[in-house]
Amino acid sequence: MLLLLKRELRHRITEILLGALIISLVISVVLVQRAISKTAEDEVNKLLHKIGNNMLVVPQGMKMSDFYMFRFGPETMPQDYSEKIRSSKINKDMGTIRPVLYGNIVKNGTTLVISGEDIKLPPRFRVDAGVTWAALGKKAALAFGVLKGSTFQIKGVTLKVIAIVRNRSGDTDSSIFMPLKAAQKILGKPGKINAMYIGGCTCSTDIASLAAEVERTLPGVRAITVAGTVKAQEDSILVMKNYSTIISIAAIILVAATVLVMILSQIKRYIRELGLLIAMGSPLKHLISMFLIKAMLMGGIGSLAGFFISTLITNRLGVMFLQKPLEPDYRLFLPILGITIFVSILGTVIPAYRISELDPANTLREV
Amino acid sequence: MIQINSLTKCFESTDDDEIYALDDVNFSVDDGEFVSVTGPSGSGKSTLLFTIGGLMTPTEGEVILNDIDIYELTAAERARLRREKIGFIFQTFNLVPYLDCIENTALPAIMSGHSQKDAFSNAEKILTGLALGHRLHHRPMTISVGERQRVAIARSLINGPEVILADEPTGNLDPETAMGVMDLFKEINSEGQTIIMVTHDHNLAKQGKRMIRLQEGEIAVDNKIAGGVQ
Ligand SMILES: Nc1ncnc2c1ncn2[C@@H]1O[C@H](COP(=O)(O)OP(=O)(O)OP(=O)(O)O)[C@@H](O)[C@H]1O
Ligand SMILES: [Mg+2]
Repeated sequence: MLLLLKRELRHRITEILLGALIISLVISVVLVQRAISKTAEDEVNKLLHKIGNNMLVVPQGMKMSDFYMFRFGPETMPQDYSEKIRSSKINKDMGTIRPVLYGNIVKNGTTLVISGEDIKLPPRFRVDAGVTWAALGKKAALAFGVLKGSTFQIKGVTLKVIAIVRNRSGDTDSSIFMPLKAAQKILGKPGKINAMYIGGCTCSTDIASLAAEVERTLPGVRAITVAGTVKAQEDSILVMKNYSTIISIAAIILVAATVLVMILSQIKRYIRELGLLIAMGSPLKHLISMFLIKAMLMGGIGSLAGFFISTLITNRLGVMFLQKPLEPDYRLFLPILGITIFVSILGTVIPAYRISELDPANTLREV
Repeated sequence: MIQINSLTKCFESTDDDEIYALDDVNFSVDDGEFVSVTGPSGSGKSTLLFTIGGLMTPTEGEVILNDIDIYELTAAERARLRREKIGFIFQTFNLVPYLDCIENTALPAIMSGHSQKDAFSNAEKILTGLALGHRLHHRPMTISVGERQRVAIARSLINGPEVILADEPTGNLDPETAMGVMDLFKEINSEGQTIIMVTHDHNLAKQGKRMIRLQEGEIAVDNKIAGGVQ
């Protein structure tokens, strides 16, 4: 019987390889899809780790959409809120705290953004005591008609231009950076700030409860974390995971359908050949084991090839889109191998068994 | 000895009426007989051979081979019987397309558990006897129809069956080769093997020891032939 198996395999090699190829492509799709969604998940987790421990504290009435558009309303909070945190019990969880006062002024028809923050200047920008420094974006410098080194005044405050800030993004273009005190004077808000950046929170609890703690400590503020933003991303990951499940199920159905279609397309010849072997008295045991081996070969080769192909594809896709090679999830190998072989067996042995129940003469009739 | 009792085979045709391919057929064949079955096309000759060979369950009646009703056996037991006791030559050859001539011929022997070496050397002997020594390693698709017929004959002989059931074994052969096949049949028959052969050729039919003529599923004539094979 080994002879029969060997000959048949040789004869059917293209058919089996074709089946294996289709199975492998289907498996590749699943694996590639899984790999990509897993990477996306990892990326978000990393991002969460990186920015998740930052917090923005603003006065309660602040409209955040305006804030991000650099339009600032009258809402403020006391400047000493930073010290208040420093002296509270949550101080140990806080990294850097940066109090800032933002405001808008109009100069020659251009709306500009004042950003008052006490920054420790690098040595080459050091100014003499008593001189108030300012760094201007290009648009702001143009509005005031100043160059680096010039001195100019806003609302009675004299400022010395220590730098024209390169246009790194559209945002800095119309900004005027200056010490906090100067900004408070110009904007008429002494002792006030309207934003506080807290970075590098090493909270033992989660960031959300830390934010709540900040809001309790400082009356009239809102503490904004990136957790909300990340939450949205997590939702999309969940959607992707669901898709992944759907695709996996679809793939299994596809593998089953492939095997079935292949069998159906061959069924006439298959029945005749099987009927002939049965007619000649071949023991059913031998026939079934022959089909088992064939099914396992097809499923096995298919799964192996699938993993090989999907490794190639995920690598390329990863390099193309994420600048790093991706790997399929090798833990899926055994389940997929099992399912594929199982489906192949179902698709070959059951028809074989059904045919063997028929009278051989019925299968031998030729038209 | 083969005993056929009230053998009836009925096929359902499409328009709800039934076709009696065999209708209450009774006869028996002694060991070592050489029976020719003739009759017009559609008279039930192939159906008779299939039911005798354990390949088609009859609607009614029994086929008794050596005191055993073969349709009382399980499918596996019947398969074994076919493998070891019966050599069947199909009207349409039914060779395995991916095996060459010697492998096709040796297949029943290998299925019966003979070693591949023995089976092959035996197959080669039979094929050479049928003037196919030069076609041992050709696939069925690459040989002529008459050659295929001879491979089918060779395959039916390999296990030295008690009974040979041959459905038109000479249908595709020229008169000379057909005579050669008949001589072979007569020779193995003289060694004691029972042969039941379907043929359209009256001259060939007359060379057996007995001639049964079927007509619409019933036996019309059953003649012992004087001067047939001894
Ligand atoms: N599987 C089947 N289904 C329906 N009818 C069948 C079937 N097999 C045979 N028949 C019918 O039974 C009758 C006898 O068929 P059978 O093949 O035995 O004839 P035959 O004598 O061998 O003819 P031929 O000389 O042409 O080979 C035919 O009328 C045929 O239509
Ligand atoms: Mg016929």
